[in-house]
Amino acid sequence: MFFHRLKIELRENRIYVLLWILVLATLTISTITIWNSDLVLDPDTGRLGNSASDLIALLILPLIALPIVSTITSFRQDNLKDPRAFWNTRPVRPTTLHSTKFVFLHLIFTLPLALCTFIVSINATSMGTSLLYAAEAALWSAAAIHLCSLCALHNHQWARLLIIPAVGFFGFILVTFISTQLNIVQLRIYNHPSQLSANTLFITLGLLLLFAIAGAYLIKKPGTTYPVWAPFLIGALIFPLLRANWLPNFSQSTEAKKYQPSEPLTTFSNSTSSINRQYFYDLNYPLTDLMGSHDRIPISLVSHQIDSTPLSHSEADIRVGLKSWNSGTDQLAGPQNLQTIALDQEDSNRFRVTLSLSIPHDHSLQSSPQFNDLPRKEITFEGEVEILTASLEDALTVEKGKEFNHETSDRILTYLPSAKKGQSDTLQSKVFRLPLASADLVQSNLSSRQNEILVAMRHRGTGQYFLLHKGSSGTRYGTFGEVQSSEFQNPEESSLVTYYWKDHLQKKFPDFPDFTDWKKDADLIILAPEQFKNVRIPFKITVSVPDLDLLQQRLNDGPE
Amino acid sequence: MNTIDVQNLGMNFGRFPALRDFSLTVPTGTAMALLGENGAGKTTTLRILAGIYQPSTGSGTVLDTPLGQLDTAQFQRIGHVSENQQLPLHWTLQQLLDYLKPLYPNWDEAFCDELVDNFELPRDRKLGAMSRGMQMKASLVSSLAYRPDLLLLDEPFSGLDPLVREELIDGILELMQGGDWTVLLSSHDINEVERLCDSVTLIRDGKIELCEDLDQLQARFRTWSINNTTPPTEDFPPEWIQVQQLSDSTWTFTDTQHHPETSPQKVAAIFGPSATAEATSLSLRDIYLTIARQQKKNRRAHKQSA
Repeated sequence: MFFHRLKIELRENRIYVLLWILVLATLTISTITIWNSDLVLDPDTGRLGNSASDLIALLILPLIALPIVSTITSFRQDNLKDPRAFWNTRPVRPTTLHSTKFVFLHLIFTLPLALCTFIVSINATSMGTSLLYAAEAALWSAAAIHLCSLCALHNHQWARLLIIPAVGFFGFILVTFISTQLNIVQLRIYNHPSQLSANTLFITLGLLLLFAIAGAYLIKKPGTTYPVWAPFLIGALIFPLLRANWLPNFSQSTEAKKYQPSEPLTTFSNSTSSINRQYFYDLNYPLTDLMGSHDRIPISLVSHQIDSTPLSHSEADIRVGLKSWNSGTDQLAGPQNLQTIALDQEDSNRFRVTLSLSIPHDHSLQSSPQFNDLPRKEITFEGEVEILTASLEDALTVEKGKEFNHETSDRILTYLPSAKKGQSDTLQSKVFRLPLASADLVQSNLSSRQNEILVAMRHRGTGQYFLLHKGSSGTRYGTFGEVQSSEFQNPEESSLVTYYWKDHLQKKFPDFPDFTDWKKDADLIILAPEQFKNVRIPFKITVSVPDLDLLQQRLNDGPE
Repeated sequence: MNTIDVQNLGMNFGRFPALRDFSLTVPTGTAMALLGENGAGKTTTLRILAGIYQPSTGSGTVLDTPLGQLDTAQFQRIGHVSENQQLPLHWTLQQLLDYLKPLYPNWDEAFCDELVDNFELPRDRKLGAMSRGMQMKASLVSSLAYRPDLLLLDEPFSGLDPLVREELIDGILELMQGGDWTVLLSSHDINEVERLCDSVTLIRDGKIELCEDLDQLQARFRTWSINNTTPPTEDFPPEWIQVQQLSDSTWTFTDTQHHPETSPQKVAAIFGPSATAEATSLSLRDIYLTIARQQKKNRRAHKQSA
């Protein structure tokens, strides 16, 4: 009986199923494509993307529409309230009838969604994290299906109206899902993986259980009226708002007072400041963009929090564009606009920029300033990046799955050759997974201290290491243990950037290894021949920030 | 033995009482018709008996199962055809039959084929593309192919052309001859009901006005035409309804308690021995109309007196 019903459901929804497969396949391929391609930053919007990510954006609509339409179609046909429904006087129990529908919808929508999430995320992160991502996608999707079914089960005009919040809820979920997918893709530039947390999973699980119990209750007692189950839907509507922090802060004062200029900016300008390697990752710095012979660091994107504490007591997400300093954009904005720029003392994973608008704490803006709407100014920072390097020998001899630790006076270096539960997302581990690019760059800045630098890449599957050895005698590369060594004559060719392996090396050297698998699975690490050296790389970065003078003027003008 | 036996059923939709104090017994192997005006409560009755509605009050059994506890086993023995039933219109007839077949252990494939052939239904056409008559036939096939013990038919002839009606009735009659089926039918098509049913229940405003064997009903209703009469010598008895004086010496009325021996004596006593009286039997349709008109008349009189 169960399988008979399942077959019927499949036949009934075959068009949706086919479309869904198409959409999911496109989504998965596009996401993996993004993973393997460069993303382009739109300096005006701060949006990162390319044609594949644009396609993903287009897929949001069918991703939302298909499960909703399918769920509603499926349940409306055999709804509980309509005395004319065909199943009413047939020997099918409502529990069997509707549970089959749920099983079908979860098989068609929830499971593949989770699977695709897993496939995409396994490219970027550990098995454990990927499973968590998949679980989150599955839970959201399941909750949404149960919510839509609640509406569709009741052929009541109010129930039909409540489909709207259900659709909104589902839409929110899937947009979150897409955003999570993109976050997964951008793990290389994000230092924290999406909004995933145990809390989210528990809340989602709770919602799913709530909707499922409500559905089961309604199927058992179809006479249950609107007031009983409506709170479920209203709760569902409110929940994403709370989760997304969209609710306005009602305690906020609405009166703006006179703006007081702040103290002059205190910022770092040399290596004594607490700027180290972490700085770049805190800025989501895409190190893959380090290229070739530049002696300066071009940076294309950051996206990070700016703490605008004086304006309100909440943090605002602001995209801050970092532009190449050799692209003629090194005009300094008034440094008085920034108060501090430093690592968060409490959480070293976070980098905070505090705006220096001194406004009395009991007064604030009528509405949050739309930072993105403001014209931008650029501020240039100079300093040095301090990179803690590891000994090649030590790193190579560490056993897979075991931690490789080194503690210095001010930091701990942790290297985990392969993912291990509970450790895979540690910052240092992630740092090592990021493809660090330019041997040229590193060497040029190491010249005063060392004359050799090695870049090694470890293949997780085979445990082999690919090494690039750049020294005074030229650059050599080879596979560790089974050396196929040859020399580069042109230092330019030694740029070892993940996305340019083939273009730059394989064309020139036919015997250069095929890094297709390596690219996917490798841990790319930078290693110095000496043990645990701090290497300093000077940098100069231009940060594009909202025009705070204009903001100041607006503040002085007060609310309209 | 009764297939349907319910007592004191009541059903309210909000404040509106759709059924009141409704008791009904349908013996196994008989066909009963529910007659009544629109909104009288026929469909509600059938839906309660089919387990779609839960009655507000009352109790009873259908197929020896208490109302409200009908389950798969009972539904495998109940055929329900309703003019309002929402068939899966995007399915073909064959898909519908394929879907239903595994649900019924008694599904008779040969019988099903015979029904489809008799009704000349196209198996590969979508139900939505069929005419209304064909849809009703398809619904009937899907409810008869497993030879249900109880057939509940809610306005099955509504909107059908005469030929299709005839075919449907012939089909049902043929089936009933071949088995011990119980049929409860609601319809406004009284001529068809007369052909099909053994007994009749007349419902008005959710209450049973009359529940009687069709033969008995027809036996006790006569329309009398009286000619060459002298003025009536005494009041008419209450069982005479629709009494009309057509001319000085001509009267007509309907006797609702006709008896072959006593009724002519009553007529002679009231209209005189010289009167020529002729009694004609009534069709079910005429009986229904007579009763309905009398009820309407009574309602008006009641309103006026109020």
